[in-house]
Amino acid sequence: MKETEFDIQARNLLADAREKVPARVWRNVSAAVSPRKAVPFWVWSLSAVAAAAALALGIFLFAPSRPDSNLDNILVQAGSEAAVASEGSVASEAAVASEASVASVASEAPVVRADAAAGSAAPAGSAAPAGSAAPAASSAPAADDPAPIEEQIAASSHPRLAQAAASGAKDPVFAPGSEKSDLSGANTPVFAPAGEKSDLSGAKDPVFAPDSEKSDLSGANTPVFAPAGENSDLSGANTPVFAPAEDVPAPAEEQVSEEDREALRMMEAAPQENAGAKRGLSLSASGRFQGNDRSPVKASMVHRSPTVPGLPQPMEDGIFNELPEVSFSLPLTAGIGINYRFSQVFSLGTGLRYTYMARTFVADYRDIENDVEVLSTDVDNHQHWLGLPLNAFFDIMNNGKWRVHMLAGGAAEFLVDNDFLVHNSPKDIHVHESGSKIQWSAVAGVGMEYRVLPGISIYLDPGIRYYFNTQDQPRSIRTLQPLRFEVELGLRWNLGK
Amino acid sequence: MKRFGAKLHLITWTREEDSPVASSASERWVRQAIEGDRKAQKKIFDSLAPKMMALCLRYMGSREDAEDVLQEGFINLFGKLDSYSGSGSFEGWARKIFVNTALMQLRKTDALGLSDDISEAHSLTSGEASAVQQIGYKELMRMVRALPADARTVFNMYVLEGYSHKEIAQELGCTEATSRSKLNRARARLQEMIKQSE
Repeated sequence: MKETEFDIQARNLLADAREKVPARVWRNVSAAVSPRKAVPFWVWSLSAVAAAAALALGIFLFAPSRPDSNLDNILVQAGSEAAVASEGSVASEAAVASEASVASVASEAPVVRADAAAGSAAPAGSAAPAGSAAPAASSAPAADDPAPIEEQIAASSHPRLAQAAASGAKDPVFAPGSEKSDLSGANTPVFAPAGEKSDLSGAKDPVFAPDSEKSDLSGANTPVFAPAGENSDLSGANTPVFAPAEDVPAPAEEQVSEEDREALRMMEAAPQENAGAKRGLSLSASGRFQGNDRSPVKASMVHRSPTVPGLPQPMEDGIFNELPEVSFSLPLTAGIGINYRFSQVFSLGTGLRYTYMARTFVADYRDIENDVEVLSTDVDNHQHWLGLPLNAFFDIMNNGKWRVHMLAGGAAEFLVDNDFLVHNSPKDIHVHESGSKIQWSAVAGVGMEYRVLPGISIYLDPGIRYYFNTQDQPRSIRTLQPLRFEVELGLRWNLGK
Repeated sequence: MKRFGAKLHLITWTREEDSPVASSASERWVRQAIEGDRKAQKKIFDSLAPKMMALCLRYMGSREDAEDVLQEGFINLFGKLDSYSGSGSFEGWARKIFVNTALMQLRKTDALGLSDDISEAHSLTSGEASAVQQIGYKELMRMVRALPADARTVFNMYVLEGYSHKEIAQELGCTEATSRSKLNRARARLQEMIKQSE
């Protein structure tokens, strides 16, 4: 027999041989080879702190500024005698000479003059608006009357006057008798003769119109109390202003210049600065997530079920002998909520939350029927929870767009389903468990909210949550780490008044 | 948990793979295992571990050392999964990893102790060759494990893994003559043990 025949015989016996593998080998291999990426806890913490810091920085850097620059312009243009809201001055009527009713204001205001050719009969029109230093001109120019408008314009160094003169800007024209005066073309309010509507545009200050006309209360950053019978303009303040009886905020004028429109827009924005402080209900939809890093996990923290060796009887309190190798998925929560704001700084919220948690662990378990141990098998565990939260919110900052609040509260959660999938050859096994115990938790944190649209805002609420009595609960990452960092992100619809 | 116990009545326990790893399945498991899929890693382990355990037992002699090498071999395997090109069988590629792991362990313990000693040349008789069939796997494995580490290593590499003497010499750092000598020595010792077992 050739030597190689011995080799062949030996190879036939040994080549496809198999030996029993102890369970510890897979345990050690799986521990050395990480099966699932866990996001370290410090990454979550650092990310949340960075996000909170970025949002806080954004609040202070990009919060909208007060529209007070126009106020300065108004004062400059209208002069020191511009209509002051608190004083409620009223322009007086004056006969207008054939030349013009001059609406010169200080040295920088544009000049309004009537068309001298329009009428010889001086209409019983009004003089320039309040703030004007122009005298009420008489029908016949007196010797000491101001120089004709053209001369005033020429003499004025105001660029706007020169521009207006050069471009042939139209001046208000007071029509005689029952005709309608043309009050356009002025940048300052022009009080029309009786029976006509004054042109109150062109000024940045509130202008109190003559009787039976509506005053133009726009252009101020302070509340303006209108004369009786008109709506006061209570905008322009960040504090509530109590209007006189039967007074309502004045709507914007129809005929306003571009600058006035801008001023009105800013005014309209001002009242909404208090939108976040309105009382009432709000609805929310949100998602919440926590970290899934379980390090460090101590062996003593892993519950080991008792085994009953050699006895063909139903097992109690778990058959799984869970081994330390376990990986967790990200706990995910989604839900809807309802909040009620009791005051400017305090609100309460509740809702309904669904939470999903999953883990995979390696277990030794016992085949009862055959009284055989099955070693080192993967088991997937899926848990479904329904929770009822109750949280209190305290505003620490609210500028209408941004709101920063502290939150504190708790939740009661019910285990709806606890599902185990045992990976087994030849057939996987499903086991369902339902829990009857309530999982209580408490949370505290600091959150922020940003109003993206009127009545709609997004919010971010990072916080720390603690789960109580986890030893009585089905095993999950909560039972390993009862104190957990979480972040809730959601949309809120404000239904308040 | 009583419900769980009731479910377990249905299962049967088996930890051994009866069929070889299908190439398509192994490729899929490899891809998934590279991505860190725990289940795929477990499937690869379950399909290879029994055979590789036998391999490690043949090289190391003692069961304890074989388990250590098996564990180390799988850690190396999972760490090198992305280098598997797909050409050739996955089992053959894995086998090389385990052989190298076993050799590294033997070098660490200085168990090989190979020297250029060719004085123990021996040739088989026809009767001794046929006796291998009669002793069975367990007995033969026991005899192989009982061989000196150097002879056992050469015997495994030449007879079971298909290395040439030149490759063995390169791998173990000896001459081809030494490799042949050690192989003959292994055969001679096995023959003696077979004779004694009759």
